Amino acid sequence: MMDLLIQRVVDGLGNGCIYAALALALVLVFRSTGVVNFAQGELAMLSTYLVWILVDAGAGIWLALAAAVVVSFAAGAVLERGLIRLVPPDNHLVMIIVMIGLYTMLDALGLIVFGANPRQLPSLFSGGNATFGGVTVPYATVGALVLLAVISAGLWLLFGRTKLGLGLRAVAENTESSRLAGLPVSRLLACGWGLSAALGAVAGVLVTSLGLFLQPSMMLPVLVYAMASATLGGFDSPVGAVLAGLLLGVAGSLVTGYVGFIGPDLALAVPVVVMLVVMFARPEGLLGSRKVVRA
Amino acid sequence: MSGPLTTGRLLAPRSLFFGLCAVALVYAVAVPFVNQPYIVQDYTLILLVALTATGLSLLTGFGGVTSIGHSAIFGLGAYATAILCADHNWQWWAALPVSVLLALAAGALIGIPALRIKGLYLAILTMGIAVLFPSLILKYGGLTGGDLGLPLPTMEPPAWTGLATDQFGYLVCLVALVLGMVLARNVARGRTGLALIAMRDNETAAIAMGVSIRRAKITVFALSACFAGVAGSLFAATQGIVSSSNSYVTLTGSIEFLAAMVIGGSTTVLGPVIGAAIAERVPVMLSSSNAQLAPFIYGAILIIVMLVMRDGIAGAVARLVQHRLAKHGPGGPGAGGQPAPRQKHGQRQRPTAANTAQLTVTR
Amino acid sequence: MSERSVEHGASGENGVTALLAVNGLRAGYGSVTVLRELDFHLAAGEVVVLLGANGAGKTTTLRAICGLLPFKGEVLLDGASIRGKGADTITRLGIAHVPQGRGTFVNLTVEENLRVGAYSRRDHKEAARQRDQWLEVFPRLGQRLNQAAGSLSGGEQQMLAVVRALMSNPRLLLLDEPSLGLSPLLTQELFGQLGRLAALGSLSMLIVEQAAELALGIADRAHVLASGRLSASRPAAELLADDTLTTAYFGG
Repeated sequence: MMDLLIQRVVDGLGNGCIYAALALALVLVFRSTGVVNFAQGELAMLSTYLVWILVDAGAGIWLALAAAVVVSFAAGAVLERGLIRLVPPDNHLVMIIVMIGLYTMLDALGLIVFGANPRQLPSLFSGGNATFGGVTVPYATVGALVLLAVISAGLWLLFGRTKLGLGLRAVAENTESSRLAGLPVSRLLACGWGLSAALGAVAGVLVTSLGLFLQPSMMLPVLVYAMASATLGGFDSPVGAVLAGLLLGVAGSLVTGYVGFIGPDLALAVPVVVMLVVMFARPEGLLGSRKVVRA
Repeated sequence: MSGPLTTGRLLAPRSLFFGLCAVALVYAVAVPFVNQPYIVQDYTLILLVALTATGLSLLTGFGGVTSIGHSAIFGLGAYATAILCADHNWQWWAALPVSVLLALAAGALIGIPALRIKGLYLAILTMGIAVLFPSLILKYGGLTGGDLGLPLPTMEPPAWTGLATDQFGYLVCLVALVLGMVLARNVARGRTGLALIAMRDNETAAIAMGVSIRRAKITVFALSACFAGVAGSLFAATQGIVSSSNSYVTLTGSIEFLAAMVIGGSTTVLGPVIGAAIAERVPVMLSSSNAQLAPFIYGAILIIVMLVMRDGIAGAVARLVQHRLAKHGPGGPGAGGQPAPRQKHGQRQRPTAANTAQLTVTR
Repeated sequence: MSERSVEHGASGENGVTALLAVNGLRAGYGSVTVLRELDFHLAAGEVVVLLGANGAGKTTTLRAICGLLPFKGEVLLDGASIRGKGADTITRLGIAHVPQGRGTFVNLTVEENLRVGAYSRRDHKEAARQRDQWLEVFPRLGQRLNQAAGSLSGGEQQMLAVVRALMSNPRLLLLDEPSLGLSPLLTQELFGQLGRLAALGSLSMLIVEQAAELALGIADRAHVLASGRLSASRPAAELLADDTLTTAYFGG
């Protein structure tokens, strides 16, 4: 009984890493540009397809990921300069429609270029499990957690200790003051989007590393979970995003496992209910700030 | 933000407006009598999408929320009617009110958190609901027919009308759409609508005037859902089948409703109809060349329209007409009022003489 | 263009190139024009106060100069036009703006706020030296370096905003209502410190201020705006001395 519980928690943590990574990406661009990126999942999907292309051409999975991260960074920066800067941050109808339009385009792009057939990517981590008592911990889960920890630490250092990070934080907080201080605001915003796209690439490859097939629709459920994570954690809190992502991963695993009438088919009920509850009870989430969310 | 009928002012002189509506109505009524049934069916879908989009535009303009989840409410209405008609032998016109009630309840429910949080966050929730809904249908496949679908009897034309099935269905939907448009217009100009404009333009003044924002907002949410519920119910009754793989009950459907609202424009009454026509037909037309290219172009159209013509095609045309009339209309150049200040990035709708005059009328 | 601008161009009264030359400035918000034909000059090392009733266009002037507001007409910095340049470029060119409301990065520490101010500089040693110098002039900031800037009092935030602007090593400092929200005592202290800065000689200032007397006390000249135009320009001492003038100009 207890073993099953721990098992489910472990599985949930694995998924939670994916949600955390994608939620981080969402929070990054939200903080800097005020945009909720509904197309984040599709961007990640395309990045993962890029990884597949490279792997298919003979590259090792980690090398392919590294390359995809760099290309995604560039793509994210170009997207910000080319499209996002045209979106007014205070008119959310325009923002939502534009991002939904982008979602539709990228979704179609994936289908056009790669077709609907599922493909398999080699995992980032070696297969196999470690067993502790009755609990099987896949190396993949451990790997995902370690990778998430490394990324989180890296971002923490970037934001807290580097000049670039300071610039990103300043721009995220107050664009006008940043301009007045002489910061290259456009470049910094583009950088923020680049980072976010890079994170999305990692999230996508984590999805395939944890067992799912690569296909055009693979990121939509992940996006819903990631949105719920960002909502739960607080849309302007990177720490919140990571914590909430892990929490939701575990919650999802536990609920689909234990609650019969939900089961794996209704897995998406978990993030939706969480969002509902958060919005009723504490709209700013666990670590977010009230002014961002309150009407 | 400028929104559906929110400015409370006419975008074109009354005569022109009514003339246009009359022409459109004549065309619309003629459709089922001059076309093949399968084409009439296509037009019926356009009517239903337009009806949902009209409700959406109320929500966006007055409720300040962009909903990406109306496919779920549409689906709720559709399945309620389908289940009642297929499994319990109800008539479509008896099932319709049930669908409406369910939709109203759903809308009001979403309206409650909307009072406390910004519209953007609610939009995220609605997206989750839209993605969840098909899973719900699949899960309870026994009741709903899952992705194979639940067939139900289509609405039968009463004998005295002498109409064919497809014609009757179309005309019922047309009546629903016209009623919906009239209702939307009245809400926009009535107490509720003006209350919400007042709140948007000057919150303290609105509260001071004793306007019940809470009630107004929930009303708008419930109403907007009601439109989608009616559309869903009529969809089931005219199509004869609903299934979870039907795009209208998935996220794709929500996007199409939004697209119809946005492309046509939410500031005019005819906007959602034009938008629905475009949203329905353009992908089909594009599909003939390459089925997969259609959504790609569709998405691009959405982005371009939103960035270039924020009030959609109808809105842009209406502004153009008003501009011309202001220059050359009765009273000479310059008279006849200024065209509305174009919404710049970040500028809120300024209370112009026209819309503040409407505000004093409510007192 | 009016005759005056042909005459003046970028030259001050003695024909010396002014640090800042504003000619025929027109600016507004949306369809509302605030500044109509504004002309004035500011020489290097000068401290100038902008006076006028509310709505006369004082803040608009500053926002146009620092690049936050598009405008028509000419604004020349050392003879070169800065029209159409972004605010960050203009800051790097040497104009720093302390906006109304201060624009503090409330979630960054005091020390980080200052680092942000110096972001565009490459001369880090010199920047650090200047920072220490400014912190001597505003010691209260030095005591709170690691505190979140949002936790500072209004007066301290104002000082922080000024020093942050100074960290970009500007030649011209624009100040918009620095006394706003400050007690009379703090306002006096602030202007005392600004006076010391001015006395150092290398910094020019353009100050918009309602607490006119204090501002005039450290200024060389005062320009008065009315209806979007320059309606008068006097040496500061003259305005201070003449009571009838002060009541006439300090409307609104």
